[in-house]
Amino acid sequence: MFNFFRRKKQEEAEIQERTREALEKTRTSGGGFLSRLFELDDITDQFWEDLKETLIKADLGYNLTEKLIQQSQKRTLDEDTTRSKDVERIFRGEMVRTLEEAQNKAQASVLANAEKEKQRREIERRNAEMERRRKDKVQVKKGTFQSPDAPPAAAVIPSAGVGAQGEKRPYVIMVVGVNGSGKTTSIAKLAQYYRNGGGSVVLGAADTFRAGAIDQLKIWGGRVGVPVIAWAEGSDPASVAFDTVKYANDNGTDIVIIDTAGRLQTNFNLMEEMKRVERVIEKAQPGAPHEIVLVLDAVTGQNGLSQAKHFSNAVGIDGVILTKLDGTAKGGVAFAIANDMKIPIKYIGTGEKVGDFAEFEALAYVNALFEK
Amino acid sequence: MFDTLSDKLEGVFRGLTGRGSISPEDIKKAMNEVERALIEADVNLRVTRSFIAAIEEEAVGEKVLKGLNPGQQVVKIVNDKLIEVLGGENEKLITSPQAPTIIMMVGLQGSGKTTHVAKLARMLRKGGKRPLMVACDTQRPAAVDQLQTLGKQLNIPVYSEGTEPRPPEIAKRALDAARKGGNDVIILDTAGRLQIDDALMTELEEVKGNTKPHEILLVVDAMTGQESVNVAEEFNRRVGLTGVILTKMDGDARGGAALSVRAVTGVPIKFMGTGEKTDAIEPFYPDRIASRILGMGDILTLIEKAQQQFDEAEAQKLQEKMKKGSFDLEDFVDQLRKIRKMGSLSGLLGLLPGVGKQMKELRNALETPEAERELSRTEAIVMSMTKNERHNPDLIDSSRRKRIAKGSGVQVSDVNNLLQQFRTMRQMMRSMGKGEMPNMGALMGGGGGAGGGFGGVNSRKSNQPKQVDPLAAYKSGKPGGPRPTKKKK
Repeated sequence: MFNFFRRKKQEEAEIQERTREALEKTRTSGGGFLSRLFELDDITDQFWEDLKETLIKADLGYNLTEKLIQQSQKRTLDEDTTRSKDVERIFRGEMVRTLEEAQNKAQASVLANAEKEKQRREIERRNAEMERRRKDKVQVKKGTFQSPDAPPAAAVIPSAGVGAQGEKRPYVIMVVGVNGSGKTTSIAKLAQYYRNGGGSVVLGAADTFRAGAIDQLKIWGGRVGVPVIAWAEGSDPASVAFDTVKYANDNGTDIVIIDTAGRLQTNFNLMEEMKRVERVIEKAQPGAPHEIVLVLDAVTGQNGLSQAKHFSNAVGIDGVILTKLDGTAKGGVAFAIANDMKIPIKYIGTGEKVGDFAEFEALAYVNALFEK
Repeated sequence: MFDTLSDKLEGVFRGLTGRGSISPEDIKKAMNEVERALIEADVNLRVTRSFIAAIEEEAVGEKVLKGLNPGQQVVKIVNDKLIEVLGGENEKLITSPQAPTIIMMVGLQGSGKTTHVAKLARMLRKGGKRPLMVACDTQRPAAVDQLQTLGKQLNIPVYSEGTEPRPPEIAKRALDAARKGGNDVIILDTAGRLQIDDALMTELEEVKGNTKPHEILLVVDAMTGQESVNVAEEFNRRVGLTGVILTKMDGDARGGAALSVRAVTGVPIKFMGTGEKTDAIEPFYPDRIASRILGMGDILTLIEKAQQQFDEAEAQKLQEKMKKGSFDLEDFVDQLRKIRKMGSLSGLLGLLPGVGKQMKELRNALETPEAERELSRTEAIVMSMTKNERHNPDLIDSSRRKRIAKGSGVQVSDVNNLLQQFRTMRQMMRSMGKGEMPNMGALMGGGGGAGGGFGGVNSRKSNQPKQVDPLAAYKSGKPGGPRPTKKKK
């Protein structure tokens, strides 16, 4: 499941480093400006004005900017400080807290789900046990005996529990977003990420609309070394998704990632189509999809909030992948989404290569923006 | 959500009537609200501030200070200034006197370049050109395939050399191929790139050097935030832009990037992309974007209640009539008159997502000089009818038809056609009335006359329920009947 809160210190440092590297361009082209701001000794009104300007330019939006500044101002007063270093600390803390709140909410719901999952697994285990005993009786009669199940998958690979016969169930991820956000490339990166963790992955080419989309995913599948389930262009996306989930169940694949067509959140018919794809995935495997991620281009302005809202209303969004952070945009609207809707940023994309990918860590991200 | 700029400005100026004058502080507060509105619409901060400085002076002037409705006045000043900055009028594509005309598309990843190469090609072909699309994106997997597929769909040739050769070389050879093949327009698709990627920007300069394009169009996603300025400035600096295409305007992005890009580079926005299909491209009209940047509610506020051609109660009545099938010829002409009076308003309402397509078709069909003539003719015919005949067109027999034709100066066949089309429309409305009918008052502003069907908008699947064509009753294809003479695509 979501493992970013169950990680060892060493891995945290690695992520910090990768995030720092990934955000290097952002920092040098503007993010470091934040640091220069804080070199003042006196905190004046102009200081807060400059800070507001910096946040607006980062696409955090008016509301979040005002909130962060007001909160920081209040704490600055409470702590009776006028030293920029203290203000920096306070401000940085506010940003991290906002982001982590979103992660915590996801965490909380994940824990709730984990509890449900545990109960469900318990029931299934008992059923499987009974079934096994029944079979054993048969097998003893016949003289054959099954060896115990293989050891569980590595910790970084999310688990979706086991089925009635004790067979592993795949963890299904559905990827959605507006046109051009970077879904297909992000899926390739995610697939490689799970492969690196030792998991098996299958991709579903459920973007059956856009010319060349299926080919595009197939090429990535070939590069990463994972199978891609696809029908012909123009066919029903839900059927492709269904087949992919079925394939994973039949073959014991760890992870399923379903690519969907880009769609604008205001297009009623396409949002309905997306809901249908989700329902059909559920039919293929009860409980799936386990995760629906929204892919968001870091250059997006305040429309990102509308995207998150509509997609969340339609299918429920568990997390955001913030892409194209290697550009000059800071992806501030993702902050606003985390603040307003408590939807966490899960990963960041930092280039067109499959390795340009990192898990999102609030502290690492904010630190990288402030680093001198 | 009633948090439009107008409402906010109302708040600022509330309680001032009777006081006699508005203080500079009030104007400052008003300007803060304007700033907020523009930022929320993704207009770049720097651009917003200089924009506000430009209008502040005017806002302090006579009209606002002594006006009865200062909030609305300020909105109007902002709207007018937006239109001015956005370029006033639509600017067309450059055509080279010596063929071929070369167009190069550039922009960030995912902005919509490839799709718009196809859209432009299709549009130019409709205009009688022989375009060639060139696949210079060797970076994105299957980008070449995508363009080739589009080429097949449109039956427009694509020049490609796969992904091995370098784009500048491909472009150069494409030029030769175009000359040999007799193509008079070449459209180059290039890979998406960050403006700060020096290597790729240099490569783009090389493509430009090899082909010397007449048009270099920056493709910008309508949802782009504050960075639009940096992107546009840098692309402009490196390769020189001649135009911008603003894409994905069918969404609800306010499109402030349009103002940012124009204000900072002076480069005109030439087209808008309004959907994924290859026909979803329109010329860019500054007044429509200005209204959109300000926000939907402000469009309706800008139009005084007095100018609105109908009110809620009337719209309700109309809806009832349509449902019952008692919509008669008088209602029909009434609605047509209203649509005509609305003029550019119908254009603004056409920006409402979902309604947009119907209104666009309606508007397009009705704003041609031919349509104007047809409307006048229709009006004349109906005016020659008695009240009874208008309420119950079924009793119009052949002798009545002769009389009506004579009275309005048309042929009997014209009267026949009108009656036939009206009957079809009424039938259509009756069956629509059985299904769900949106609140006509809120959505169509009096444009319900020709019957807007609201089902199946933006559907991709071919087996979706057939979209009701609001102009079906209006397009007879027969001479003399009321129809727009503009050919349907």
